[in-house]
Amino acid sequence: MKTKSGDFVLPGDLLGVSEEFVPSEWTYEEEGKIKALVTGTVSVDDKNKKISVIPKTDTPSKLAPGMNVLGEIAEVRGQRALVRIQKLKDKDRDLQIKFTGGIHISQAQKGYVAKLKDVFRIGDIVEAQVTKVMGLDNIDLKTSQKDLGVLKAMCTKCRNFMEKTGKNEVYCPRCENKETRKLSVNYEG
Amino acid sequence: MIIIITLGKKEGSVKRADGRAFDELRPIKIEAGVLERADGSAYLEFGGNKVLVAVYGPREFHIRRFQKPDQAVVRCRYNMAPFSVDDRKRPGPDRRSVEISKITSEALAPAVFLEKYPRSTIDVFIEVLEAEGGTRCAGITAASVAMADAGIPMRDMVVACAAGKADDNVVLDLSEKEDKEGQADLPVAVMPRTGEITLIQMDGNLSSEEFEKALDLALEGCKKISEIQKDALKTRYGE
Repeated sequence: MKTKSGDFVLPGDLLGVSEEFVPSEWTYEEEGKIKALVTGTVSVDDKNKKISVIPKTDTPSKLAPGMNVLGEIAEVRGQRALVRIQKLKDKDRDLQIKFTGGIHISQAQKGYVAKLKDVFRIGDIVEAQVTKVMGLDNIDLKTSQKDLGVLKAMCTKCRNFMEKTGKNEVYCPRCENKETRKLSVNYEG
Repeated sequence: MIIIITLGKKEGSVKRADGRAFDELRPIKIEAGVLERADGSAYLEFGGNKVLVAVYGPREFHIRRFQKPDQAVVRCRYNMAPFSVDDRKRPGPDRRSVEISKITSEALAPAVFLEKYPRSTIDVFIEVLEAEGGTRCAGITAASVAMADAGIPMRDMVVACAAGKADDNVVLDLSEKEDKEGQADLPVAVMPRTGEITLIQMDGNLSSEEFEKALDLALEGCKKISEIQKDALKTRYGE
């Protein structure tokens, strides 16, 4: 039996042997045999000798560099802001655990940032991009693009939602407090 | 005219209460992806059994002390609807359903690549809407289709089937009546490609020859059901 690109496979179906291909996404190798992990179609990369399965079912969410995530600022330290990651931006399925990611001061905004507290405050809802995933506890994020940054900010004095007044400036309509943030262009106050 | 009445004891002539042959399964139907909000789901009809399964996850495991740092945990809840049996079943977990929940999660776990999702949980909810003997096997069979529907990475799809002894004959796939009045029941769950057995239970008495025969029969039954499982996914996602 020989599989070719486009073949429909189910979990455990034999795709080939490890002498032919390098097992790639959604495949696994067992005793020299490459098998499918999920329901989907086979994709053979003859140039790189890779074989993978393109899932036809919904698949569990997985954090990877380049993905946009939504989260909440949990802590703002001197050099890092910690984000409690709630979900992937364009996938509704839950992540396997509640990840915590860090935004380094140099990755928060374009240009020089004197104090990270001028950029993020605890409780802000942010959209960020994953830049590095190492294990489950070492995740780096950045917000230095136009469409990334704070989506919703709360006043540090009265916890009221703030309104956007200018680029990276927010204003509290209740206590007339003015603050600064790295705002996303999609800010909704 | 002479009418000869023979009381055949040969296997081929064994007739069961519902007219099936000794190695005949009840009619079976599986549908994958029936629920909108679950990550994966399946609906199964197996004779008079009607089972609905929903799978969620891998997702965050809130009970921190039960998390495993290096792998996911398969949690399972088997539940019978109050209207699933002739007498009303008192709702809520009881001794029987707690046991079936446990053995179901243990039957499914070997097929899943748990180490891909450390600290998380995969939740399987099995709701028996109507019961007619062999619900644990029906639950396991439907649950693995639901897990495949959820896109959870698996080695194989676990399939379960029972064999047993009724009216002194070893038969496949006991109905409720045969289960209650019969002499033995032997549910078996297996990963059909490798033939690894993930669940085997027995109640009643079987001699060792009868046990061998019943096990072979159950494994044959599993193979047949496995094809129907695959067809369910093919019709949902295939060409």
